[in-house]
Amino acid sequence: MSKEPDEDVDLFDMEQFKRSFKKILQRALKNVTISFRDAEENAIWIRIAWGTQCTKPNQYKPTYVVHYPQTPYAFTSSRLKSIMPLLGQALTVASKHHQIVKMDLRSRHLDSLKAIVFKQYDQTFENHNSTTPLQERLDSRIIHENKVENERVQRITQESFGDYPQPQLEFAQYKLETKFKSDLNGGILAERKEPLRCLIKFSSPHLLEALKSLAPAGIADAPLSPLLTCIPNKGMNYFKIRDK
Amino acid sequence: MSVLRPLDKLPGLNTATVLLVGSEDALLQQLADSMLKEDCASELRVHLAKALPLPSNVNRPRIDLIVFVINLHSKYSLQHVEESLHHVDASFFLGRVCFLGTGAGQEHHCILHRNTVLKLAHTYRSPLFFCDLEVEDFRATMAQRLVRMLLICAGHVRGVSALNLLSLLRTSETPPPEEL
Amino acid sequence: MSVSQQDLDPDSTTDVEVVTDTEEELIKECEEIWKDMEECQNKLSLTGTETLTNSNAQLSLLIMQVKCLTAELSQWHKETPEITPLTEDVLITLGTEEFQKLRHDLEMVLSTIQSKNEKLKEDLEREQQWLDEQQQIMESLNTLYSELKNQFVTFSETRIFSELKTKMLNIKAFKEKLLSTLGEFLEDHFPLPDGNVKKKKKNVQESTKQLITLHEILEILINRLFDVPHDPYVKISDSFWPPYIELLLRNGIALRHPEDPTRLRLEAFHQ
Repeated sequence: MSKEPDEDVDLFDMEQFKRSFKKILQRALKNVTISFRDAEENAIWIRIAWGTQCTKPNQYKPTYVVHYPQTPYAFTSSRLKSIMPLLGQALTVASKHHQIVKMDLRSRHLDSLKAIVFKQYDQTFENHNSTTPLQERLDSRIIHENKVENERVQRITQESFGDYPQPQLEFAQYKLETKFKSDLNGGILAERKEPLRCLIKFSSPHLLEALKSLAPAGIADAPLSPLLTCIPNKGMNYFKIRDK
Repeated sequence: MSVLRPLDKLPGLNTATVLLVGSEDALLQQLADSMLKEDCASELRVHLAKALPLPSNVNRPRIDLIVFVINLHSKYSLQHVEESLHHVDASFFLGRVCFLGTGAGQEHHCILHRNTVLKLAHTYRSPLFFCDLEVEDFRATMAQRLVRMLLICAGHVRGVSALNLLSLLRTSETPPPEEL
Repeated sequence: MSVSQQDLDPDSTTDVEVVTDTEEELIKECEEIWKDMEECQNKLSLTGTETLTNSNAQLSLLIMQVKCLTAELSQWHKETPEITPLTEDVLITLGTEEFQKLRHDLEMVLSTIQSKNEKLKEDLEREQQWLDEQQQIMESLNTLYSELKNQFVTFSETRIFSELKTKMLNIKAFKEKLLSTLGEFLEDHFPLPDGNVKKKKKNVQESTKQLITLHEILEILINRLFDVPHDPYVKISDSFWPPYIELLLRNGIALRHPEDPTRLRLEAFHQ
């Protein structure tokens, strides 16, 4: 989630934030359990167990929220539609912002989300060069004809993805609502006036590294579609694509 | 010149050169290594290319055999091969070209149907082999066969010419009627 | 001698000449072939190139194949195989090559056959062992059979009858023996009390009746048990000496009647 601050926030008061957050949630729902933990310097970890008017809070399905007070960002572990508005409101008010917007970025790795959102992913931790082709043992008898082309592909990949290890995401999902475009004349689908709905999902244990290695492995043309390469830049991995 | 011609230069002494064309470099590299491991009396050279036409400014020896490697898991590799076929002189197809389909062993990853590749090989009247290049044993056997084909195409085997070999190898039968 | 030496000298020089001649000849032949190749190459480079599309590929390739195959065929017809000049050193080199190949093949054959032999020997040993074991089994079965056969006696009634008779006589004799031994034993160890026996209890009345021996008591009990099996009880009479009755009861040889303490029976050891 991100917040767009309308006012400047002067100094962040941790205790006040905690009190305010607790108060808001407890006023709305009597049965909630809230606990705070200052795990890192710049972060506050909140654990919330939700209950309803009649039932006790369910401690086995808590929601975790991590908020970085210096930034207008908070990360949450739950996607329950019912509690999101309330949680959003509590965070907004407690941190003295005016509005909260949900970003289309999801992953199982908090560090990667942080890296993308705080734009820290282009720091090279180790100076590892893009993989050089292994020296062939008998390299005098094997000749690569397309050296120039290979170099071009490497260069383009490097430009789009950079030299550094990519943040770790598991999915990229594209919801298409566009009209059907086809080279063949006619066909039933081409005549539809309504847009076609279609969902494409890419999944991988480490999606961005996989995309980065597509062109060098010869599975796709370089440059890759900008829809794929813009993921870290735009900070989104769930897209909705409509005809303009 | 952008079109590859057979017998366009005098051969090198006791050398035979094969050109592997395919979009996935790693596979070609592995196949090249396996081919070079075979012992044979002549010197082998392997050229790897992603697609034709080859860059023209290079001085390369005469190419005796072209192997087009198609990965059944990627439509992209088929596309590249089909485009490259237009840059090959017709006389190459008299026994100096063969097609190699890889990845048929993993059915659930295959996007291309076997018959597509069969049809392609049949259209160009050239032999087609299926081999999973990722499995070392199959790759070694395939490399042996390719080396023998290469020696014949380079003329190092008395009494058999590339065209003879072609006639002896049954080129792929007409693909089954459901495909046509 | 000198003549022969002279003869030798010219021979040696001709040998050397022959060697260089063959080499030179071979080189000359190679050069000629190379020249032919260059000519052909020049002709080839004059031919144009032609690329194919998917639609016209099959037909044009088939036509080309026909042309080339007929050309090759006529070439094969025209050509007569030429052999390299069979000079001495050529023959020697070819011969050594052939022999080496032959030797290599024979060595392979030898090693294959040796390994086959070994395998056969192992198989033979194993089979032999198995055969021995089977024979042993056979022998033991045979002895068993013969033993059983001997035990088998022909069925004959009279034989059985006489056997039974002898058995009965044996048993009777044994019974007599047992009874006499029992009698002796009882006389020795369980005699009738005479005057030397100390009277422990004074209120025991000496019976006037004659006491009978333990042997006789036992006999009465045994006879009663076998004569009247459904009522094997014997009334205790005064002629039974009480201590012996106690002895029999305590050792489980005799049992009291469950309702009548004055009656005794012998324990049915045979049932």
